[in-house]
Amino acid sequence: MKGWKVLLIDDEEDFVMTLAERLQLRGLCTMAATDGESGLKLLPNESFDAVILDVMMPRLGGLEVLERIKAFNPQIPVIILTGRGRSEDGPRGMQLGAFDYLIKPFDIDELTQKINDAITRKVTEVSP
Amino acid sequence: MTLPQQTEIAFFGRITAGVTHELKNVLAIINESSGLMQDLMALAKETPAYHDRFQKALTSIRGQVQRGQNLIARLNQFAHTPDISVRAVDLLEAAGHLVALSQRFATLKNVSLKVVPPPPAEQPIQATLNLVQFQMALFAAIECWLSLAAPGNELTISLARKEHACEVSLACEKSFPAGDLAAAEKWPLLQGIAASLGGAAEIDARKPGILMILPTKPPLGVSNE
Repeated sequence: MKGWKVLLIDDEEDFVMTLAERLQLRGLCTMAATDGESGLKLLPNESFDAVILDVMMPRLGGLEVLERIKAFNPQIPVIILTGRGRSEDGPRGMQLGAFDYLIKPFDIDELTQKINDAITRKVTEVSP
Repeated sequence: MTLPQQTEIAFFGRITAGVTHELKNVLAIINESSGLMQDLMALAKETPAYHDRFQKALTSIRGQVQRGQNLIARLNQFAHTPDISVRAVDLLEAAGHLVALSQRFATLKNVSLKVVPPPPAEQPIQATLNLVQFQMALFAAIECWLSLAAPGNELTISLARKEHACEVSLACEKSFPAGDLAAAEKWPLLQGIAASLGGAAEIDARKPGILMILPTKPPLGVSNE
């Protein structure tokens, strides 16, 4: 898990910065963006192993950001964060190519497990 | 229910649902911030001052985040209730949500509310009805009972399937005179809502308590929307 580069996109600055710090303490390299446009701008310049993406954001919504990430690079695993129940954004995001989703607030261990699963699966798929 | 009333209820539902999403973000920030404090304490080379008290406070914060999360999830579901006026409803689940959100009213009177689960093999009790009206009727019945309840009382709500109908029974271990329940301020409201659902509310002399009999199909003239 050490050294994996993860992009976090969430419009709640306090949340995204704190989460980034907690993931750094667990050995991940993190970059944070507080809106979809800023997050998308980081993609061409950095090689991210995974993206953690909030669904409900002003202006460019998370599901649209997800589509653009997948259009840019379908291999990047995206884990979406939603405040809604399982019948709404989570499954919709998975239909659009998200690896998995979590409902806020969540346990950090659950997120790190999903990041691990997402990246190791990607690695396995890319280099069999 | 008239169209303006439906519009008003839908308005309150939409605003409340929106706020519940915001509250989830608030809880998420509290959760991550307390988690970061816990992470940093675990990394400290020496045991920080007041370590045990911090740990206890952080455990309390996490417990309250979980409590808030459960309440918000129920409130969100409740706020979405008016989205469809008439629909197929699992009555036990709907009663469970309403009772969970009504606990505060019971706590203030030092009494308890509980929904009796059916036997495990029992099929869900479903009805096609207006969920807002069902929950309003149940809440009116709870309020009737609460207006007479004494500290320490426990109200049990149970549901039973009957032919083309469902019986919702609210009973307690203390006997209330039937006349008192019928004199409760919310009794006429309860009867009115039960009637609009095509059913009836009456004093259940067997238990004693309140018995609502509701049809599991919408009354004539009410269509699915």
